[in-house]
Amino acid sequence: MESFTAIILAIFLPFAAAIFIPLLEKFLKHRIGWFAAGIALLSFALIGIVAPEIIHGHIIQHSIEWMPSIGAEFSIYADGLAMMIGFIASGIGVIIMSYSNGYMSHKEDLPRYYQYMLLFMGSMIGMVFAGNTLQLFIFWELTSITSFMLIGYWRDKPASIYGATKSLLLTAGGGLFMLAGFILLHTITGTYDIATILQNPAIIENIKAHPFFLITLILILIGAAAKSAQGPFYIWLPNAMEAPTPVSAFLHSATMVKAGIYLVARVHPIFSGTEAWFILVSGIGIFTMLLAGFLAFRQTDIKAILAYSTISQLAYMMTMYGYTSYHEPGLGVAAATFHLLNHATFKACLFLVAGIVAHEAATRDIRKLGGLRKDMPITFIIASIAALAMAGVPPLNGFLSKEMFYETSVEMGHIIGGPFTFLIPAAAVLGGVFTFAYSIKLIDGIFLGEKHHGHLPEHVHEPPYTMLVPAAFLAGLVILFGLVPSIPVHNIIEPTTAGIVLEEVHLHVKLWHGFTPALFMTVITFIAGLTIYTRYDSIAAWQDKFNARYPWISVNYYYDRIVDGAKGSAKGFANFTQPGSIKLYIYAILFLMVILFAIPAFMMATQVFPANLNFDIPPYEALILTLMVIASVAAATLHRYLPAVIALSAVGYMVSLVFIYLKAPDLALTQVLVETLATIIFLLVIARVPQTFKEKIPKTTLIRDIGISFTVAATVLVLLLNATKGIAPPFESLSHYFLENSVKLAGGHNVVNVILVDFRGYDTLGEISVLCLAALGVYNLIKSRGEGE
Amino acid sequence: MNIQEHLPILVVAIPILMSALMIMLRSRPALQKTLNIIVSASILLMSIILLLQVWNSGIQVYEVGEWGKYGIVLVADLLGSGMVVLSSGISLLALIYSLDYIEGKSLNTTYHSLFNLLVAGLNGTFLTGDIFNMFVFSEILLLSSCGLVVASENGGVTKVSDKMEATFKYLILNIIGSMVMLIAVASLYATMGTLNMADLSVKIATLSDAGTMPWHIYFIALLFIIVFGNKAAIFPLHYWLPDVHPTAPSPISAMLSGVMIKVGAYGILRVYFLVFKDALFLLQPIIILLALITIAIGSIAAVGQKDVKRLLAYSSVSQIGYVFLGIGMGTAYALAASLVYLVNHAIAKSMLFLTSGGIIHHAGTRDMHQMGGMAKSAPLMSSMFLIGAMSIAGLPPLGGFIAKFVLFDAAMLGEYYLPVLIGFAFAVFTIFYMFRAWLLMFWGEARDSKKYGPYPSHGLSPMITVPIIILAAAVLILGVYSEPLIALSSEIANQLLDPQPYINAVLGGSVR
Repeated sequence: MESFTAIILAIFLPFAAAIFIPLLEKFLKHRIGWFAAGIALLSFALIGIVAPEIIHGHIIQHSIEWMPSIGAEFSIYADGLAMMIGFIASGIGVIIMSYSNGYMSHKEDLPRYYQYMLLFMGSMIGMVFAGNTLQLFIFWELTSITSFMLIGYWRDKPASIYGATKSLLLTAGGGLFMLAGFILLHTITGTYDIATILQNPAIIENIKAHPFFLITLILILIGAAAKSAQGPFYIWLPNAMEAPTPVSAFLHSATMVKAGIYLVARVHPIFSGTEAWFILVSGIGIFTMLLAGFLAFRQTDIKAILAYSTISQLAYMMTMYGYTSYHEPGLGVAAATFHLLNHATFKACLFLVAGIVAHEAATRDIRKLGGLRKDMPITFIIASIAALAMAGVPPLNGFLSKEMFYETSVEMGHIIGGPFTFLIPAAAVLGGVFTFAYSIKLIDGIFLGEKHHGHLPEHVHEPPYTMLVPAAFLAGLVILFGLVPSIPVHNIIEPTTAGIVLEEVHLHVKLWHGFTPALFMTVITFIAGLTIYTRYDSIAAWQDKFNARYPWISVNYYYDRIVDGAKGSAKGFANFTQPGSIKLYIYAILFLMVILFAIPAFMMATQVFPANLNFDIPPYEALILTLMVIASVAAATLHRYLPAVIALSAVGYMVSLVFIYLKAPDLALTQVLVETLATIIFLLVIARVPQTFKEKIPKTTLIRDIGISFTVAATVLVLLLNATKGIAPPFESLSHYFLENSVKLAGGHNVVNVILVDFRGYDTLGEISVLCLAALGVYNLIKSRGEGE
Repeated sequence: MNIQEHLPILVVAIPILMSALMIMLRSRPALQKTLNIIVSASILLMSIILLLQVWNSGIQVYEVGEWGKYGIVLVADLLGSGMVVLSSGISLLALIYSLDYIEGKSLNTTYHSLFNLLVAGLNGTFLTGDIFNMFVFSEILLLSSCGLVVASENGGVTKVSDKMEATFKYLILNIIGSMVMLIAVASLYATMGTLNMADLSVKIATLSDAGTMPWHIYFIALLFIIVFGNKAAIFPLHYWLPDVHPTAPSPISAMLSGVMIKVGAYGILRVYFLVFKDALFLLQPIIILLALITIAIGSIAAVGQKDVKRLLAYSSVSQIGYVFLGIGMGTAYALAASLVYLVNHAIAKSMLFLTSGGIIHHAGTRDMHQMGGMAKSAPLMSSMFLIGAMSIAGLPPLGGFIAKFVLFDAAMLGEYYLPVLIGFAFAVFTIFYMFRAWLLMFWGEARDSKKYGPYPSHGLSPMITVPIIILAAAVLILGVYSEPLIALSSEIANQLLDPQPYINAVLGGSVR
């Protein structure tokens, strides 16, 4: 099979399968989970087909036409990095979906569960193999959305909804910032294509020299940090633990949360080797590593401990990917990559154990658990292996990558010099100490010590094999990678690192390195970790006290304030901007009109009033106009309906007089008819309502209204004075054409009539329709009134 | 006689004719329904043929009565005929939906007629080449939509008095807009001596080149912001929308939010890029400013709503702001992006309003706090609303994402950094309010049945679900493969930026 096809299938097979799951469920019933696991296995195998090619240092690139109008292609970029995370996503996918068969009750809505699991897996694979930033973003957001759906799997629980909303807002919202970064990158380079950028040193140089370098980097890192729960964005991950435990194991420890790390690794060649990269990436990393490791102490839910530990472990990777210098841009890459792989194995395993414990002991509260080693010895061994790997104990895989972490930390500190020679390794060790302490807590709290009979069932059993075997398999990997590191290193870590630093890499990872500074740091970690562990509970108690006293020193506090506050203040805002009074809305329109008048009047006009205005008004014209003004004022000021209506109609009759004076008898006739009809209708209506206006208008309102009316009237007056100066030279009016051709072409002597029914008959058709519409509308109104009230 | 030449007038004349016929057929409801669907479908077909014709052989001009620029011309360019296709498509689906949704008596007597006139008004506005004629057709639009807003629905939850109040506001505020348009058109005619837009374009260009442009032409140009801003409901002319769109029956809300407010965007594009090219430098900063305020006001207010349709209405306000943002930036790419946005919003928002109709049917209320847990009882509405919400929120793989993407890309390339920043910030708001609405309605526990009663168990007829599903499919397809839409929009943008072919088509040769 062609490599490109294999990858496309690996991505879209899960999507296709997800569509058919509801249908298949009719036949397979609860065994649908095995179908899903099979699909994951297929994807894994498909990636396996292309793996040898990638391991031999070949990058698979291929694109097909997608949206040429905006220069976007659908393209695949498969290097070691993509392959590794592709393997993790599909491989852990197989394990988790097999495990789910035991974990998820048959009464649950299984099709929905597996549908989103598969959709997620496809999106994740699609994301890592994405060949351009646009595609990367699409799959990125798909993982956010599927994650949202899975966190909220038990959708009637308020805690699920809260956790789901939080994760969506932060990860999908953060994704938008990343998109902004990608768009800036497009602005700088003119391409969305990842390969084009990566394989073109000139373009990368250009980016680094560009004034938008820093803002682009920050935007992309916001997306990465939000997704990988780094920095202040960490808050969504603990709440995401509301998801069913296999989901947490899959999405929120092994795969989806690695997306941010993946992004950092993906853009590493573009931005690394700069100070900004080190300060931002390692800075966020170290801060988060220490904060989350420390905060893990006060957690009582074992899933919450694991969540904080995941945040802290992801921060290790961030920190290492951030280690960079001008001469050695890829300093921490190999270590970070190895840790990424190792973390996927031991953390997923720990989550599966947490699921087993919750499933069998019916609680996840570490205060209630304890002494389960006798009841479930196999689970105990598996859990110990995974937890010790996390703690960095040899000969497990966690030990190896942690050694590499310490090594690179020392190097990085050395490169920067000054106090950092000491500070950076010290921070790394402190992070390791926290990790050690809570890892021990997990083993101790669940399996060692005395069993609290009051809280736990009398007999706690080992879980069914469907749950035990996947966990055991992962524990096996933990040991295998620790004892024989050359297997993952040569096949996965080297090609991946090569994909990131863009040159061939040879690594030598061994259990025994000799007496290095790293070994010394590990020894300190164990001693300090054990010491701190003896004070574990008092530290947790202190944290609780601190939190109770200063609730506002917490990111969650502000998140809740903002989100809860948003609804209230938005409501207030809506009521403020939309008070409901039509008068204010009319003011708004008129106000805008005056502003729109002022702009050209001040900017363009040499003469706002036209020159040579003709003030020579004939006496009868003046008389009519004066009467019109008087009638208008009367219509506005009279307090009884009847005289006001009559005054209003007087204005209309005056207008028809003007028409007569201007020699337009037919218009005048029309005007008289309209006016008469309107007045009669008015009179008929007001006969049935009280005869006086009840409301008294306050003086200020009156003055304001008069002011507004005058201003608006003045702008219209100025416009009309200018417009009636006549046709702008050198043009002439259409009227000449109408006058000349009315008889000749249309055969009518009354030009107005000819215009109405012939030259512009189409308008008249429209106007007739408007009249019919008015009639229909009134009919509707009357009818709905009759039925409604 | 070649019937294809007459397509521009047919898509206007047929609905007007049907409107009259429908009144006569009011005692034959079944015939009315069948006939109206057939006619709507054939108008959609005709509009597609028209668009293809324009795409293949250039701008089509149709003279009503062979008077050339002295009479009225209809002009089908890509923008106009594209809008006709969009509106005909949504109209057809809204009509099918109406047949089961609108209360029988109201449907037979006036609804069909009014709906046909609405369609005529839309098509007439999109195809006319005459600025006064545009005024006439926008009046038809206004009045027909007023009549439709008060139509009653089966199991309606909106009080008649609320509808009256909303319609009253709609009418008053839009009549003010019409008056402004009348003043503007009349002054323009008095100064330029013509109403034909191509002719106006040439004349204004001549004045501008000669440096003798009267200043009040600029004022007239700016007045069209009020005219079309009012139709599109941009700040500060948006006040009528949040009252009217929710109270209208859902298929009409879909028409109002999906198509009607786009008339405003269309008008701005047509009038400014054809007639007032020389006023663009004045217009663009104003439009961008108003668009940004519109985006902000609409999306903040949407967060605080508990009425699902009112939330959608505020969302429309905010989204039309994005469309105007693209128009304000005015580069070829930005205009294309704005059109892509317009189409995507039209489809997704009309779909959401149709879905909200189904939701209201199911829950018997518009208040989202009285809903909850409906993912179980109304799974179809749940997934449909989610698709629409995600598209409006700009999440992939749906059409709204492509729209936001091209818009922001265009803005960034045009170096409009601050607008992009604001646009992005409120995109996060959009995600928030859309998902909040969805969660309130479909997740959580089912509502307190003692207090509000259980959900009525009756299902929705295919007449109601199928149009929604078709629109949802369109939203999805536009998200996965947008190329035809983007290509068409880019071509429209090119036509807008170079109006010479339009002018030549109208004035060249055939005009006496």
